[in-house]
Amino acid sequence: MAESYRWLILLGALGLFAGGAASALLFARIPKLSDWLAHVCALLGNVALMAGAIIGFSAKPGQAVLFHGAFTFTDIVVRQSAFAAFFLFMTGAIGLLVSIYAIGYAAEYRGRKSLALLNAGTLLFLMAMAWVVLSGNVFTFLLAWETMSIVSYFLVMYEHEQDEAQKAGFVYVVMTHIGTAFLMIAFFLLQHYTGSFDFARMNAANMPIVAKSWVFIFAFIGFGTKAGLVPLHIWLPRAHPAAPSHISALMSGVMIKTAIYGFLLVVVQFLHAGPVWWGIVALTLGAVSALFGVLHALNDIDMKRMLAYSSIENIGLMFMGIGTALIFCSLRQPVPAALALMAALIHAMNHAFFKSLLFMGAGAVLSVTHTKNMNLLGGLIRRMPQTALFVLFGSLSIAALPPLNGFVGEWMLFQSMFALGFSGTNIGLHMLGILAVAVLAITGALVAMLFVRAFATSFLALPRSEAAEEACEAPLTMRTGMALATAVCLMLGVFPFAAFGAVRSSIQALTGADALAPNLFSPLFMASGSSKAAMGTIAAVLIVCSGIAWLIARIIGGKTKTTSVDTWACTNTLEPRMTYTASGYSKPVRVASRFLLKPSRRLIVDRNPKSPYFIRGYTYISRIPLVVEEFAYRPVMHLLVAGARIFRKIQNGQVQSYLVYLFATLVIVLFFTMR
Amino acid sequence: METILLQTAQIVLLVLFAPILTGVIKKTKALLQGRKGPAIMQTYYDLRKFMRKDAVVSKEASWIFTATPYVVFGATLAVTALIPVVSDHALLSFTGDFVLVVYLFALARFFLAMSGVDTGSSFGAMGSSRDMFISMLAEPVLFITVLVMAIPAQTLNLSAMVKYLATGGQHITPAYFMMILAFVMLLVTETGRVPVDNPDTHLELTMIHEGTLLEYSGKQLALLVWGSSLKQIILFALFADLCFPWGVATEPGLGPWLLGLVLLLLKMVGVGILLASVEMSYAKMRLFKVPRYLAAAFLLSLFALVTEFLL
Repeated sequence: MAESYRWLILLGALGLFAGGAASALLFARIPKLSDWLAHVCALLGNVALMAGAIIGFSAKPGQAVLFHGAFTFTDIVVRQSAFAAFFLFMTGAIGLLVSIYAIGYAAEYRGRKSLALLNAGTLLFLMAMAWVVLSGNVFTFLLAWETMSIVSYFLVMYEHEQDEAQKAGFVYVVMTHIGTAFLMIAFFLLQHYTGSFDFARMNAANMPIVAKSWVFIFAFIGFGTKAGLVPLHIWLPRAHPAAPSHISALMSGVMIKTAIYGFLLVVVQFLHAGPVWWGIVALTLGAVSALFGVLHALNDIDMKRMLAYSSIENIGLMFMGIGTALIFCSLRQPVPAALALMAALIHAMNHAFFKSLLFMGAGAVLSVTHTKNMNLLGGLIRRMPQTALFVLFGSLSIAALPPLNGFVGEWMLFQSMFALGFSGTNIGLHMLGILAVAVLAITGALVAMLFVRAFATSFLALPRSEAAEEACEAPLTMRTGMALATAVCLMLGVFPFAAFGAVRSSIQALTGADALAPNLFSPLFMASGSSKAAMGTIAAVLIVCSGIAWLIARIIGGKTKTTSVDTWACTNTLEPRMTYTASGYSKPVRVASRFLLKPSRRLIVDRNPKSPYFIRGYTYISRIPLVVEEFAYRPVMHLLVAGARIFRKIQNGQVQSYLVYLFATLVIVLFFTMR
Repeated sequence: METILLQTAQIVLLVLFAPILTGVIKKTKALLQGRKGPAIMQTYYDLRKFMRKDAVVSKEASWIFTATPYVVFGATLAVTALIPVVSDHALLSFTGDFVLVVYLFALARFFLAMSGVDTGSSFGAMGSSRDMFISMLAEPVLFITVLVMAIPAQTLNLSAMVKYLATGGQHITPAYFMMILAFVMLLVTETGRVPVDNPDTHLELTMIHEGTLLEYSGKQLALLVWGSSLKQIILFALFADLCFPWGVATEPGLGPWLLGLVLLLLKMVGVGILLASVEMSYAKMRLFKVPRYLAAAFLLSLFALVTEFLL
């Protein structure tokens, strides 16, 4: 029964998105109606997506041809599996939260920009992301993939009058197309060896290892670009902050996860894993991304760029999980492979929720203070108490602190790295697992520092600018979106089993082992039975323990009074400029990671011309060079430009010579085909 | 029933004994310096005094400042339920509970660091920033050091690990000695002692952990001081149980438990005296020397693991 409804619901969702986008543009002249239509379609469409996904969790994989193209390989085929359902659910859930938030957030642009365009873009973006996951063959997939890229490009460029957006858009569109090119090569290679463009029949079990490895490399580059893995990340810290905040939330929360979906589809489902070095490559680059992302985030004062770098870090963690899973697949150990894969997917889901929550929070701050610079904020907890609470929960989640959802994924990742350290077959793999644990630990602590810094310097102490001084609470719809996200973070933290069930069957299909199998309840992974309620127990214990703390203090000390006075500032009055800024907070890390980041600083002293001893002001400029851009991308770009200069000689502007080129080409082609 | 009672008794014991341990360390330091020093029970008197005093809170502080002491003490108290102390059983134990222990400490640290910034005082913010920085360096050391013991025991469950070690598991290896050294270096860092931090002063040159407590007073200060001594005793107990697991009660019943208790107290006082003498023998190092110091500890534990795999 559910089978037949499934397609109806899912395609209905896509139709709602498309229809909403069309009607938003159609009625652009009637702003009220256009907005209303767009928002209603977004809400309904996301609810439908979630419903379809929930049915899909338990249903058998199904496939349907929507539209017959001129050739069989250009058919538009949709396919649905439990694995896709997981990502669909994520898209729908995040989409729903963000759509509610967008009702309030988009209003900020009213009168300045075309809201209809933004709303339509958002809807198309949601549609494209869902469609990527629903694709059933290469053609459909690439079509959806490109739609997603192009629509998100336009959304990044939405505020095109700003320099930031223009630069970001350019880098983004170039990188994403390079990525797509590699994907095409990967898929064509697959087709060559499997003889089918159809995902259902793409079984590359009999492919020669060398060809498999090529596919892996191309897929890794293609999907890694979209995911934002170092060194392919260069678009991400530019594009995510430039987009409107709710789009940033979707990009970080969902879009980069589609790359995880695609990567797993190609590497695990089609190729069935390969040599051990695949996993090692994924694990290593994941670890590099995690460290790189968090170090750069710590030295960024732009709230949204910091969150974007933090996305790179989280994608790194996911790839560490995936890499571990691939290593275990190569070693023919499906059980720990299933666990590692589950860790990556659960972390992906959790990241979607808390990262979109944090982006929404950053957007709320941005919309009332009009600044993203954390050094100019401060003291917002009094002015935006509810937003502060939500951002605090988001920060606690992302710092993987119990009993919130970030901890669950982190804990599973630790478990799978430990498993690698324990059961590696040779000392190299042992040490790899151990070092991965170390990287996870460092990253975890750095993320905690990052979000203490972000929260404390933006929301606590004193406001360091007019804008922060005059901030007020965000509108109700924005707060609702954030509140729901917070609730989900808590729920998934306390009852993680809800999420486990959602990925269990698809992981079983991918690796052939149950990630929650009884033999996993060995001492290495979980204690028998208690893991089901473990997180809930921890939450309860924490609450009880804090209560005990209060009781102890109360019983021993009796009732006491509290007086409030000014903060002691060495007999001066405390001024906002005395309070710690975000730049100051991360100074120790900058100093300690000097050999990696190579920061530079300049101090410009403005002296009084009459006397050098009186100083009117200091300007402090601190800069972190973008190492990857300068050492990897620039030389390649120079080579390309130099090469283009050489080839420009044949572009002489005369029609006759172009005709000669045409003729020569024709002759060559004929020569090759007539042989 | 009896086991549960004994396990709860472990927790109460830790909470009550924590301030004495701080007193022992202070007394030892004083004696080594040729001073009389405070009474061993002085920390108790201080705690009671703080508890009874009215609090003075900054006008700039938000609810986070108020909530922090309860969260810090609560999270640390929750850790006591997770670790095996006198016997090889913790009240709550599951696999990978060690990760939870680390992250509960992180939760406490997170809130403490936030409240350091909350008052707007630069002292607190500086302390908070440094505290997070040093924890970032110490965290991998903690993980790897415990892994050295987890690998031969083939488990990550702290209780099972201690059980394995206490019931004659493979123990005296080169790795073991390296691990002890790394663990001592880590204890010095995590309990905020010279040469990394100075526990006796609020001067800005030395303040890391103490800087974040600077603005607190009254009950809240009491809870934070108690909380940090509780964290100290937890780490000591872990150190004692993992490195010197002799006498840990592996059999049920009161007899072995009491024996384990006596031995544990002796071990902890021993570790306290050791740390006090370490504190006495070194001057505090510059903040930016700390990464090197902890890198050394990290490499030590890595070497320990390498020998473990090779031998």
